Amino acid sequence: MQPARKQERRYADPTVEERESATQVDTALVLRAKQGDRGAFEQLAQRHARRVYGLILRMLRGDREEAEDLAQDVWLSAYKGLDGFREESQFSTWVHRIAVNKTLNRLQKKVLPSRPLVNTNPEGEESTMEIPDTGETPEMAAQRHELQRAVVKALDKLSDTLRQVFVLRELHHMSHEEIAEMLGSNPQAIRVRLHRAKKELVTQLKPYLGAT
Amino acid sequence: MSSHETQNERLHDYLEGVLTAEDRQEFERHLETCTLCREEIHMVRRLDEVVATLPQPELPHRFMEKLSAALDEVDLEKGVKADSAPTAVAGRRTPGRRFPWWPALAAAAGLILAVGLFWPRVPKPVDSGSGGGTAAALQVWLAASDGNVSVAGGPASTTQVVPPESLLEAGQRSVLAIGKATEVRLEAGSQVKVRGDFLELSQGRIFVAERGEGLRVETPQAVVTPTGTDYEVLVEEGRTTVRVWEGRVKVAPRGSAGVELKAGEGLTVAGSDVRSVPATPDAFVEWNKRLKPAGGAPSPGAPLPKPPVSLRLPAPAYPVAAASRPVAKRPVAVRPGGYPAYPTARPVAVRPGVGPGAGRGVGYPVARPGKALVGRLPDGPGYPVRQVPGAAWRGGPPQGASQVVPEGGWQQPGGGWQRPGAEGQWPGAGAQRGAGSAGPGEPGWGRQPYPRAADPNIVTRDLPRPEPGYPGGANSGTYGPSGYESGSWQPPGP
Repeated sequence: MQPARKQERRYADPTVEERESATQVDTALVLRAKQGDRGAFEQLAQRHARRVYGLILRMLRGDREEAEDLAQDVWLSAYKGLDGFREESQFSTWVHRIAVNKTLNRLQKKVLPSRPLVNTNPEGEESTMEIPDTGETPEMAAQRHELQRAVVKALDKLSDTLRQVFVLRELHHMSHEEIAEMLGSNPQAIRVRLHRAKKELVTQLKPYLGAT
Repeated sequence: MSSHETQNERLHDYLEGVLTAEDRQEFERHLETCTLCREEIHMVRRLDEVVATLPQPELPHRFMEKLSAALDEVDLEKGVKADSAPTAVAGRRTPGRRFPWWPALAAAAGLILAVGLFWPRVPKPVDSGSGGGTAAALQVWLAASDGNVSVAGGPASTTQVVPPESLLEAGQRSVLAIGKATEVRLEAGSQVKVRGDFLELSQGRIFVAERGEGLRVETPQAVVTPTGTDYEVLVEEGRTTVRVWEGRVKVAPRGSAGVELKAGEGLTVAGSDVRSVPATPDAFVEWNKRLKPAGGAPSPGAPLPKPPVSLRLPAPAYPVAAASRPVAKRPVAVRPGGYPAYPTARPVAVRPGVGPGAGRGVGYPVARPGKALVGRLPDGPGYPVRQVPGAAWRGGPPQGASQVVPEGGWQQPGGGWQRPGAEGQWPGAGAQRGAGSAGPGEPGWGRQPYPRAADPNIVTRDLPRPEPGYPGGANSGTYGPSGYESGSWQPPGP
């Protein structure tokens, strides 16, 4: 099937300019939201909901229902606790922290079934994947699609401890220090976990990544 | 020479560029001879590339709508809490107590005037309060006006938020809504400015129905801090006068300790000259008179209307056409059934005028007695709202709703109730959307499936029971609902 070509939206690390601009917008929206502007808060949610949901979904191994519930819970907590947000960190970091904490609590309470992480709808059927319109041929796109699926499956097989670190660092571009603070660890331990996670992924994905 | 295992542990640090120069050189020398490490580096880099291209998962279907509805719930909980404060205050306001209060006040005021004594100052020293409040910034919007109101020098509409630090000049009589329940009525010629968590009155007269929002009013001469009460502040000719009609108000002249005024007491401040004054609500009665229907104004000497001086005005204070005013962002609750027949009132349905469900065959949620339909209904360019017998607003009309109709039928113009068809048809049609026409026999009156399906924009909540003995409930006012049943607010007469 010809993959759909949609607006590119990936986990690529945003540029410094993008971050600064986004931070300024967030700061203004936070200010308005704190003054009781509900619309401003919803704009904040609109801006970050997808990433927060993605984070939770990855950490929960693709349990969409659970991820949606948790994501809703995260935003409600953020809404209720907005007055307590001191703006010492970025709003996105603050919300991600709430998401991580809630997800960790969730992981501690229940053993999650292993599920594929992407490109399946709730019925488990394969759905069309977003392929950035990069001008690549359908064959190249299909090859990349397969590789992405393989990466996600391998990620799913990692232990919770390693997967959390990998997701936070590689998909959400948090610093080792931020991750350490969220997970109650130290930056060096986070580095070690990240290396272990990558090592395991590389081992699992050797047939895909080894081909040059 | 280090072993492969030792060097391999440095691989990721090498890729991240955090090795010291010495370690990096050593690792690069190792790479020249180690195929395994070179392959691993290649694979890790490839992994990073693939990870960077992973698509972000799409948000679940209607995620934001569900979130919005959940936020409505949170807002409603806050609102119910906020509402509970005035309810508690109003609980004191039994009809038996309200009315006798007026002659008592008049007598007290007369006594004060007759004796001609200065009212004893500083009976209860209090903090000046200026700048000491920690309440959140005020949310203020212009709820109603006779016109000629400017905000920050520009013309203002009745849907406009009054931003902080902008001067509002009321060329004519106006009403400000603050937070969820507090209302401030401005006399023509008044000038106010929203200053963080307080209101600055620089000129003119305001009548405040403070309902637990922590609204502080500051004037050039004094700081006025109420606690859930009704009072008046007048600034003219370098003098601030405060009159309290209900509850208690702290008044602190600038630069000195304040006094606490009770209902029926007043204070006028000009520099160090502080005197007591009688607290008559005459000015407000005059202000309010013109809101009454024709013929409803009391003649001089006649008994005051009921309720005598309550600032709780009926819905016309909020023009129905103001469906797009910012308050629509807040949840609205429709309490089924009119007061005081609340327990046996018929259920009502809210029909969204816009948004999901409008004209698309999605049914309308139904509120049972004791429940409220709470919807964050979208702003729109004015969707007339129609109130029908048996349905009463709470917290203002449901913004964005075309109608609120009683489940089970519609009152026909000639009396009696038209009921849905036996096959389960609901009176009404998509043609009514936004038009405001809504009665049997009127254009657009048609048939469509009986409303049952839930609209995700609207959730059902339990409602607190209306306070007993308070006919008309929270929106009771100086006159009944007949003036706005038609759904079109008539500007007050001259």
